[in-house]
Amino acid sequence: MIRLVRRPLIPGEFDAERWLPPLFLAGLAAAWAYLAWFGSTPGCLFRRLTDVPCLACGGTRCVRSLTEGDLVAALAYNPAVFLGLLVAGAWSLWSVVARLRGDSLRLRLVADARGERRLRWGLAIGLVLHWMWLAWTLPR
Amino acid sequence: MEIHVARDGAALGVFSPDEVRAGLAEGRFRGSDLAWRAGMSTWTALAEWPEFGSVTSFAKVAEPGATGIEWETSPSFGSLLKGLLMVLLRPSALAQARLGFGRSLGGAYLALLVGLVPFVGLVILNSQLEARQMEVLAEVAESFNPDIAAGMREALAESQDKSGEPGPGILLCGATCVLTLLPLFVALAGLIQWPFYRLLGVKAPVERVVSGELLTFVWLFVVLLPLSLLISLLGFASPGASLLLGFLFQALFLVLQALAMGHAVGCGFWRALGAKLLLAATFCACCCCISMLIGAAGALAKG
Repeated sequence: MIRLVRRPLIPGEFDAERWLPPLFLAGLAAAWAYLAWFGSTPGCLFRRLTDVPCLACGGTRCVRSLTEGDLVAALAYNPAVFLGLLVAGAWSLWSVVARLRGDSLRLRLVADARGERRLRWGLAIGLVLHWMWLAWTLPR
Repeated sequence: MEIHVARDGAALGVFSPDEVRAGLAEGRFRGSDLAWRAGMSTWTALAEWPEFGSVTSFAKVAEPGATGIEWETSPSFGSLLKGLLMVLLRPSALAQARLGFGRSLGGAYLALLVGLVPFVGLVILNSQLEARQMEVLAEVAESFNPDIAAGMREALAESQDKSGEPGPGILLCGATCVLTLLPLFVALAGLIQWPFYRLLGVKAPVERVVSGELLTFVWLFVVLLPLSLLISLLGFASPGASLLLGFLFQALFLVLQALAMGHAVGCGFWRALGAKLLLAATFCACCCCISMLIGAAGALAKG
């Protein structure tokens, strides 16, 4: 069983909804400032040494394509970065709306033991597929 | 109806009432564990749930103020110094630490202030040693791959042509940048490690992992600064020996920190080491992003 639930924050639990929106915005601002200032990121050392892309290769191009509104190209350049930004953006937006509505419930992914095993395997397989995609398709 | 159970700010999972009852009887759950189910407004200790009252006599709810680090309850210069030594000599005390983010960040910055003078000295020594050590590395690389060695020598010559000897102003500015940013980078490293702990089956709250990483890394770093200085000083006599000792020092640091993190997160040494190695692999795969950011800060400082 894997599903999303809305539940109160556990006492002592990290309040992700409180920190995510400002951190997400700060990250976007920092990325924009960095690219505006330096133009591009240095080439990937891992790829230069091994001729094989790392899991983050294509991330900058993905962000650039997103800023240009080209979603298909962004997904193709780095699916993990694309999906990560999408989830972080959606979760940030949800957090802001929930806070404005005074909703104290938090959105969390819960899984039983079997679900956790599936999640772990899913993550591992997803990363392998992601890496294979980059190795096959990502131009230098 | 399913019951969500949590301990120390981290969710343990979702269980049926029968599973909770069995868990309490077997000691897997404690009366102080918090539980929630749909419809309730807050989390309540299992001991206060009427349906589990007959299972066993529950232990009292743990005292919320209990902590293994004096710095967390009464912050002072003395408790900070005790904490620095504790991370090295008695890391098991971290198991009872509260590890709140704000207090850990404050402790990290104060510890860096304590180690300010030796740290600036280390930055100056290392900047002067860098060229000699690079030359030693190029000599080692020569026996494996002459092309790589030639590339290293070329990069070294190029960097020396570009920068020359860095002035004391640049070095001080660099040291200040690192001092200001180091705790934030370490906190980021903790944040990146949290999913690795999950992947390794450790259900620790993200705040505990981030704060634990912050305290153990920065406090150990400060307390081991004299050793780093000695190794760097040795480099003026023998760059090769200093380089080798530097690698051994890094390995020792890694082991000591994994030991401390194992206690802080409650997962043992090997899983903490595994999370650290996964972090190292991630940083390598992410194009050495730390050096890139430090390089960017250096470029900004130079104007």
